[in-house]
Amino acid sequence: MIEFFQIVESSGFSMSLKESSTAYVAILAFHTIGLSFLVGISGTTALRILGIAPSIPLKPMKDFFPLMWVGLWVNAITGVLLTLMYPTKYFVDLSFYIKLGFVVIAIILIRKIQVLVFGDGADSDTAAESKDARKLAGILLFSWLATIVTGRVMAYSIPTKAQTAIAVLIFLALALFIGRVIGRRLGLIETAV
Amino acid sequence: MLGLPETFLQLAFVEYLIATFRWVWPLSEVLHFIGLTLLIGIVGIYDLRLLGVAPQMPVAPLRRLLPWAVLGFFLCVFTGLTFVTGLWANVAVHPVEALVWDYFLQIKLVFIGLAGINLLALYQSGMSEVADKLGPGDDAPPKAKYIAAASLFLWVGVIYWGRLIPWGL
Repeated sequence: MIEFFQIVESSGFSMSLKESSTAYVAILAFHTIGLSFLVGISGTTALRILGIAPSIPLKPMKDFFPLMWVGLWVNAITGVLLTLMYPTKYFVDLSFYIKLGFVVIAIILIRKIQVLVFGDGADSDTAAESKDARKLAGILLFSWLATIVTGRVMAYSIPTKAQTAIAVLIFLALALFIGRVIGRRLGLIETAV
Repeated sequence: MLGLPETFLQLAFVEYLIATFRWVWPLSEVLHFIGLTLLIGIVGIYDLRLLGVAPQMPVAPLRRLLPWAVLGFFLCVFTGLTFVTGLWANVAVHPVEALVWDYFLQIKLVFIGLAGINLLALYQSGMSEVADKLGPGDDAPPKAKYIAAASLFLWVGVIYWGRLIPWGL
């Protein structure tokens, strides 16, 4: 298997991408831009379902989804190109598979939310208040968080990866707790009635 | 360089944390990405609405999301300052050198500044109040659309040039 990856890594296509610093950095940049739209739009929708800014009507948010899917395709294409450049690095790294796993989970969750909350005939605002919808939205946010963490720590050693993941969880738990207290006191957090 | 001491902008405490706890730099990277996702996601939705996407969405309620975009922005600023002040501990480059020689960093900072000026223009021109009154089916005036398009372009540009910074060091 490693020999196959080495063949791919030394192929003309892979070498031409690596030798063009412009192409390589542009691919990386567009991978991040795609992520911003994909995770940004789906994450904002998930936050709304979880009760953040309940005065925003949910149904019209469906119109942003095509751009979200464009973000996914940009990520998929740039992701494949990045993998073709360094397959021996990515395919032996467990965090690469974990990242892809969470991306797949997130996409499945988005599709489930689309059916449950934005399906034809569904009253989106009412559907969003269901336990199922909120559970899906919560798991979606966690999946994107896991995707971002595993994507970022791929360049680091295993101990650093594990320590970073724990640090992220602790930081976000503290931030959510403190943010909730402050947000409620300042009236920034509304809860759906 | 610019008459500034080599260690200008370096913070010993930040360097110590980065050198001692190997998870500090990647944690900052993760939080930087979370911040930019919040910022671009929410500001992007607001700008896209002004540009005519999701026309049935009333604009005023979207403002309730803006504190989260601001949170994302400050998360990016805080972690960005960690990268700058602790740069020496990670890649043995002085922050002043990075600011002077890394033109990707310079362009990114210019784009952030322009995005700030664009935001001021949204308020100073009165377009913010006009936008707030847009209900389902309403179209934003051309001036609001130009500001929204500029905002989207600038923030996507911030991501693009920001991603290239390591290659300018």
